[in-house]
Amino acid sequence: MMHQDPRIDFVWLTAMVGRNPDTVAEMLEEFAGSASRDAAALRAARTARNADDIQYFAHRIKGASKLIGAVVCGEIAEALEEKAMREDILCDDPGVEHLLTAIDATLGFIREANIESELKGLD
Amino acid sequence: MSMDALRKAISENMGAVNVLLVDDQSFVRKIVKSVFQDVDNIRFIDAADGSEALNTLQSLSVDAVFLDINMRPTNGLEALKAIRTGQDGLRQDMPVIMLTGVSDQAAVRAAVELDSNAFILKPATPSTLLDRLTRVLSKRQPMKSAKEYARVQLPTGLDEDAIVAPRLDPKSASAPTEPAPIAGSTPGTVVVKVGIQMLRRNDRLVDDITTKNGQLMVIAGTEVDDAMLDRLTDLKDMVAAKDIDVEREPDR
Repeated sequence: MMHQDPRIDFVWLTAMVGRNPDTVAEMLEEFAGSASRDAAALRAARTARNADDIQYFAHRIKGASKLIGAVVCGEIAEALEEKAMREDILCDDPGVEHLLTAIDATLGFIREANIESELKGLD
Repeated sequence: MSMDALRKAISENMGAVNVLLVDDQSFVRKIVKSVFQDVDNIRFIDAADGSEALNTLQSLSVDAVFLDINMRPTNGLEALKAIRTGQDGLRQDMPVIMLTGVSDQAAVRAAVELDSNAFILKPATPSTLLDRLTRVLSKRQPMKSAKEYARVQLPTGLDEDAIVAPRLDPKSASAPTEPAPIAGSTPGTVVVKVGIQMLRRNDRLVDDITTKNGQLMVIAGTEVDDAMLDRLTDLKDMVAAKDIDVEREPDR
């Protein structure tokens, strides 16, 4: 089981969007909205036992997570996507729950994060 | 080149540039655009899938396209094929940069055959985004006929591409620990074993180039022109870790 560290890699994130705290906050908020919607779709895919959709939404979550610097979330999503591509994934695969837990943890971290303090910590 | 230097090069050396950014995640589009926020002469136009991209290309002036592969309902390969076949009068030689993930390996062969101008392996870094855009805007690439592009087979259903796309037998296609035999040695032809970074223009591939999971990427016999060299360099992290055999014209 991978360690579920929800933190955002602020070094990566600021390399992408710069160090303006408002911009960083805006991007994190955008990511949170996107990840929440994809997590809901992933839950729905599991309920509907739709393996194609599980792979598709794992792919989306992976891409968005890696782009924002949500490294662990991205790795778990990638592992789930790759597993789904290699074999007929079972819709109750524990990887789905693992990913949903990681997303929740990441979103919780974003809600609580003090952006200015995180950015100062980079100096 | 540093990011600031790349930004400066774009700002100073190019006129106004319209870039179509195609991704089905608005968040991804937003963060990519943020990378270019200091480059005044680039204007981004958004599209949420391949179909929307094609409609935009018909109605607006566009200089280059960032195109995601795995999108719903119309994926990036379908859009690229429509462009290269000049569907509905589209500009066939439109510079297209494919945004691809390691999971898109089955799709890469089709994108190469459709002469995608460049690839970016996600997650894209700012310098890669800037570098690829600069490159495709400054280099024109020879195109094949629309008929040839029409023959390119696309994987059916990108979500399932690992299942339905041609998959090579890993034993014969990619054996990282066992060098492939050198073939094609004939008088007047120099056969060398090199890595991608040492490929030269006009080399001809003796073996297929495959991805790390055994997907065919570039077929044996392909001549490595400048554009192919660029593509292979873009995709080097996806290529199976083995030497690549080429036939090399003797130096004149």
